[in-house]
Amino acid sequence: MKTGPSRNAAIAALGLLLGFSLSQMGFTDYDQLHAMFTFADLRLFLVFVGALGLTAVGLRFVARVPGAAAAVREPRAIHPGTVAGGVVFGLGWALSGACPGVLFAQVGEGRALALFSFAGAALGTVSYRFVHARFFKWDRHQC
Amino acid sequence: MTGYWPWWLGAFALATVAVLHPLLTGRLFGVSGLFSRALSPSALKEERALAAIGDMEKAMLEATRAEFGEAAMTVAANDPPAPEPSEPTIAPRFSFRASWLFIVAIAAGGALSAVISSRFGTTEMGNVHRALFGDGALALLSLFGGGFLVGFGTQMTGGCTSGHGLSGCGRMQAASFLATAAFYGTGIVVSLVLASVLL
Repeated sequence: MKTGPSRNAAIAALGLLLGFSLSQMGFTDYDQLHAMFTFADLRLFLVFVGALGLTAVGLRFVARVPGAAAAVREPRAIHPGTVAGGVVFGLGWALSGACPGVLFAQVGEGRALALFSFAGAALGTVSYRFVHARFFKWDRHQC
Repeated sequence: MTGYWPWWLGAFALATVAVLHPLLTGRLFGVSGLFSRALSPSALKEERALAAIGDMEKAMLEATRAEFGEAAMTVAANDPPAPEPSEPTIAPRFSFRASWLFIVAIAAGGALSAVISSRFGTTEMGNVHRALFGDGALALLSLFGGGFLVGFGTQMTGGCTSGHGLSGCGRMQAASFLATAAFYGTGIVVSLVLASVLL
C-alpha cells in the first residue's frame, strides 16, 4: 500500500486509536506519570513493558510481510546523540509530562496548558536542526 | 482508582498500533519523526513538487490527446507492461500531509476519550504538577521548557517512547535500548529528585 485513500484512512484510524488509548489509560495525566516514575504505582510501567513484549512478537511476523519488511529490517545506528538526547528528552518528559504522542492527545483532550508544552516541543524540534547543523554535525544515519 | 484502563488493556492497545502501523503504512510507528516532518519546510516543498509533477503529467496527456486525438491514447496500451517495482529497501517516509493527518487524528482520539469520560477541557495539569510547580509562571515554564526539551531531545536521540521504546526495542536494536534506558532512567531520577525536594 503506497499512498492513496486507504493508506490515509489507516493513518487516521491508527492515530485515533493511539490518542484514545493514551487518554483512557491515563498516560496523559501528569499525576499518573509521576506515580510511574516514582514507583508509587506500577500500572503504566506494566503498560509499557507489556506493549514492548507484544510489539516484539508482532514485529517478527511483520518482518515477513512484503511492503512492511523494509521498515522492520532497517537498523538503528548508535551516534553521539543517542544517549545524550535520551537524557534531554527524559528531563523534559518528567517536567512536562508529555512525550510526543501524549502531547497531541493532551491537546485533543482540551487541556489548555498542554498548548504551552506543544509550543515548546515545536520550538525544540525545529531548533534542533539549526543546532545540529551548526554545532553537532555528527552523522545521524538518516537519508 | 481513577477509572483508567487496566495495564493489560493499555499494553494491548499500544502494541496494536505499533504492529499495525508498519503493516498498513510501510513505516515503523514513531511519533517524534512525524512531528519533525510536520514542521519541516523541505517536507512541504517535497509534497508541492510531487503535486506539480502530477499536474505536469496530466497536462502532457491532455496535450497529447489534443494534438493526436483519442487514438494516440491507446498506443501505450500495446506497449509491454512496465516491470513490477522491486521491494523497497528503505521504508517510505510520511509526507507532510500524512504527518499532520496522524497528529490531528491523535488529538481527535484524545478528544473522544475526554468527552466520553466527561473531562474534556481543563486548565488543570493535576495535583502533583501543581504541588511541584504551582499555578503561575513556574508551572508554565515547566511545561514550555519541558516541552522544548522533549522536542529537542527526541530529535537528538532520533526517537521517543514509540519510535525507540516500542518499535526500536521491539526489534532488539541496541541504539533503542540505550536511548530508552536513557530517557526512562532520566525520567525516573528527575521525578524522584523533584518529589523529594519539592513535595
